[in-house]
Amino acid sequence: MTKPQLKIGLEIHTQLQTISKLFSNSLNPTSNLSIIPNSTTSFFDNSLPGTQPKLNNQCILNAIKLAISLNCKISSISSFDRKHYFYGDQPLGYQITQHFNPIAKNGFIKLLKKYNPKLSNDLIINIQQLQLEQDTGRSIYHSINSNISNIDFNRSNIPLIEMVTLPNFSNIEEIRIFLQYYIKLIQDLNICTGDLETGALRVDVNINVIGHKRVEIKNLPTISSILNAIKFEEKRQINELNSGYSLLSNSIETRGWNGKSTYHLRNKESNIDYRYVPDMELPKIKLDLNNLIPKINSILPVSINDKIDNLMNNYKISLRDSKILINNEKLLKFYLNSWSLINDIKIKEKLINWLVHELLGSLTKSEIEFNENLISPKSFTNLIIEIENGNITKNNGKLILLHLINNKIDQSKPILELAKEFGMIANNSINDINNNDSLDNIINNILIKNDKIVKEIKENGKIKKINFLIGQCMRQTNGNVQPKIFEDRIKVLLNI
Amino acid sequence: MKANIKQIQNINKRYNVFTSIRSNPTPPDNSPFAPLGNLTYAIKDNFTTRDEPTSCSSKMLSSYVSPFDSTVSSLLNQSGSSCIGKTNMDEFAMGNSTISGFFGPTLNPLYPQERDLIESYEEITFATKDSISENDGEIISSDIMNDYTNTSDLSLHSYIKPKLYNDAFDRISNEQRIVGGSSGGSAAAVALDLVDFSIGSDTGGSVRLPACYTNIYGFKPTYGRISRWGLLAYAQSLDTVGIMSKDLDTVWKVFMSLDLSDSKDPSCLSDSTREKIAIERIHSKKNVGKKIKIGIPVEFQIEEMDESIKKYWKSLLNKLKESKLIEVYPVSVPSIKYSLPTYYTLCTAEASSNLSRYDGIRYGYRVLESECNVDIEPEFVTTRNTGFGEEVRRRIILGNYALSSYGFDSHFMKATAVRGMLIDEFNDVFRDRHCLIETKQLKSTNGVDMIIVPTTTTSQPPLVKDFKNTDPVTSYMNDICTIPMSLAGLPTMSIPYCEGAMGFQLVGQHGQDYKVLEFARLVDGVLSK
Repeated sequence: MTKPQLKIGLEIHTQLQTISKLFSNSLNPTSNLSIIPNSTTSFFDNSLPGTQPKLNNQCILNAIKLAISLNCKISSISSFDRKHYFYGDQPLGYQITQHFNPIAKNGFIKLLKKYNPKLSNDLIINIQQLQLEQDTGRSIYHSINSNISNIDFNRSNIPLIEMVTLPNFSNIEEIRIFLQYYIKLIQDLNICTGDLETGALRVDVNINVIGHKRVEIKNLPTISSILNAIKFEEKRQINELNSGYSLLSNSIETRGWNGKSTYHLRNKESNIDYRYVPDMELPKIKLDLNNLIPKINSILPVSINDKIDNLMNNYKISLRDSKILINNEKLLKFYLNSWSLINDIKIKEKLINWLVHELLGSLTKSEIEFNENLISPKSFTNLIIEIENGNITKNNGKLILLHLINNKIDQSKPILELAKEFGMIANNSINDINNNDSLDNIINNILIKNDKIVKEIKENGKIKKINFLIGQCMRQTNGNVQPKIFEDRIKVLLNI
Repeated sequence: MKANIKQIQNINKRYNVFTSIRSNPTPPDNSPFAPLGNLTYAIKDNFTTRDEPTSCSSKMLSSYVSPFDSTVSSLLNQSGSSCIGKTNMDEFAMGNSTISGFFGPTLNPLYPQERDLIESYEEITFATKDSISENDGEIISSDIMNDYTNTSDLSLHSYIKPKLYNDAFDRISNEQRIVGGSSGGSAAAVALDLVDFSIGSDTGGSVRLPACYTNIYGFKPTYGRISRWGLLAYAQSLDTVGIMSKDLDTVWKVFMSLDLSDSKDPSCLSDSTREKIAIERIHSKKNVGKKIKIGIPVEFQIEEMDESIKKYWKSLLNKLKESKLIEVYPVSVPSIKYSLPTYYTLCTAEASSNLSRYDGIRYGYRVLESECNVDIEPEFVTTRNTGFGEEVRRRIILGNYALSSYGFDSHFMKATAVRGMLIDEFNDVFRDRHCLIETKQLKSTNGVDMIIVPTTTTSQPPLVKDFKNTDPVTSYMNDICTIPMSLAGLPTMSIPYCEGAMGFQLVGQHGQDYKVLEFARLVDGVLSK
């Protein structure tokens, strides 16, 4: 029996990074949770009597940037509405949102198989609408037994964009790809930190297998919790269908996620009437779109797909490597700088391999994150040029690369000079030293010469000093032996 | 100089005008450069001030002190006038009698009253510790300290709080009539000569009706002309700041001091709009000397209107005609007929929304834990049930109905549409341009300059003893003459006529406040002959 088809839609709240809040002058700490509670609130954020909202135009700019990037139809006139409900952390007794005339509607994101090999087909995700709205305060519960909760209004009135997609997703891979794309997009646009953990980004899931009613899942603080909740909920709904679930008996349900399973929160039929009404004092947002959109377009960053296309077509980089570059601004910049320092087109094409596989690979082993101060593009490209020209062997080249990163001073020396110092100029005659007897001779000589170090390793347990011995061996053999072989032999001979 | 604090306290004992009286009011500024120097005033208790509570005459806010001053209060103090105290009102400005509030009824000085309502006074002192914003230098929070032994970084405030007799309602004389509302305290303060002028708020007639009932001037400017920052919202799309005085020039001067844009109030008219109005006003000076065209809406021929009012209305128009000031034209504004239900749908809807912030969590009254049964209802529900008075609760329920998913289209949206029609119809009647509409329709180049209609349908305010037993819907009828201008946001001056509680409204097109003030001066000239 085939699995029933799955339908998933997302409702995403994106907290905007702006200087001040949506309707007041108080600073917007976004979801910086380390700030003292109730220290970034204004009179309006606390809904004091006699205060009025004042729209922050930066929020509109950010919303339009997002709307353009999501191919939405932007409204020339939009307006704010009140959504009423009582909650301790909702100071006005209503939320100011955009219910009747949102700022943008009817957008889409194209996720192409070309860029996402894990997709079985090209996928279009339709965006119903984007609405600007206020965030609420945060209730802080101290313990389950206490009937007291404190409220922090720092989050109150922070600008949010609520985005609702149609149920265009049918598996978790699509959700994963979409979320990665969306997070990258809002970070590129510089409108949100994109952090799910802090609540700067909040994702609710609408999900049903065909034949089951729609279920909403809330409180999903990480991408993996979103994906796991979907997996769980799919199984749960299928089981329910198999055990004689009746469409009529259930209303639309909201469920939570506890890390292992989804659990019942409430039914829609018990939901309150929000009594939506147009806000009576906030003026309508009127936009001169013909004038505004070209201007905003000109300040938008290049789209993610265009960036990938550019790297793939003009730099001949694989999709996988292109994605690594566009997800790391510093690495991309380093790559482009290095590219311009190399003339030989054949060597240019080797650059990405040296950067992504050799450099990043060894950095990952040493648990260092790439940053632009590790090595200069000039030093890096000079090394690669010498290696590719056959003046330094690949293995030696890797060692020199590590040496350059650890000894920044040597980056200013000409590479060949440095290689000579280490005796690493490639020797094209084949040294027949690959049998253990002659290797052992070399090693033994080194061990005898460095008896103090051998003592420190054996008696004081300074295992790391073994690297020095390996280096000596490498020097002796002009670097034409894998350091790993020396390491293993030394360990055998020293009995450690 | 008006009455001193002792006299004010004595007179207040009888009429219960103030919710709080300042113990040490700042003396009025004698500087010749202070536009309102030497003037004293009282301000309705729904404008925030930092020296005493801002209660809205509600238990919900009975001891709430605001950490900031309303724009109106700041501007008046800067202009050199001196605030004497804050005046009683209908709770949250909902009502037209000023007898429903938490601090008891305010009585009408025009009618006999034998016994005092106030038993005694209590002076209350408190201190505030202010934190100043690093961004804009404004006060951002203000902790109220009851312990003020160390006063180095504290500011001290004190006010005098009246204590009502327990049997205050029984002490009201039989001949007493309602003072009108909801700005009844502000009207009474002027009528009793306790202050030179007073500030009220007018949502559906709350300045004009009590002005009429106390025989003084009551001016409701164009919607958005005076900043509402610090005025507690009742129905924001209708709320305006109003001015009351016995002296027309004082009304004018006060209006000029308050007629400013304010970035804190999103509905306050912008500087560019004000500039356009000012330029048009200069151009219209060429009409000086010509007769002013007066429109009389046929829809004001209301069945319920007293014959005597109709008679005085005619006599007023005849006097103005005889002195060659005006010519009279009948006009029609058909939607006036629907304005009462339209108004009560919109204002209750807005009120129910605006008042939903009062939950006892952040400020104001909060029910004691021992008085709650959270198994039956959440604490905030008990707080709201006991903190709001009957009329406020009634209007919240009415408003929630209008906004509910079953009432929204049939009530709220229909009322909004009628309001739009009403504004269009007024635009067709007036010669001047609505200041927020760019072009004037050709149709109305021959429109009228002003409209003159009565402020009330009855020649006398209702007796207090009768009014207490009136059902709410009948009491809403008192607003029938003032509501159309509120819905359309039109500048309207209620002028006293003859003696007693009678007034007529001079109504101008949206934005034509100075035209209304100038016309009121001309009418005043004719009537005082």
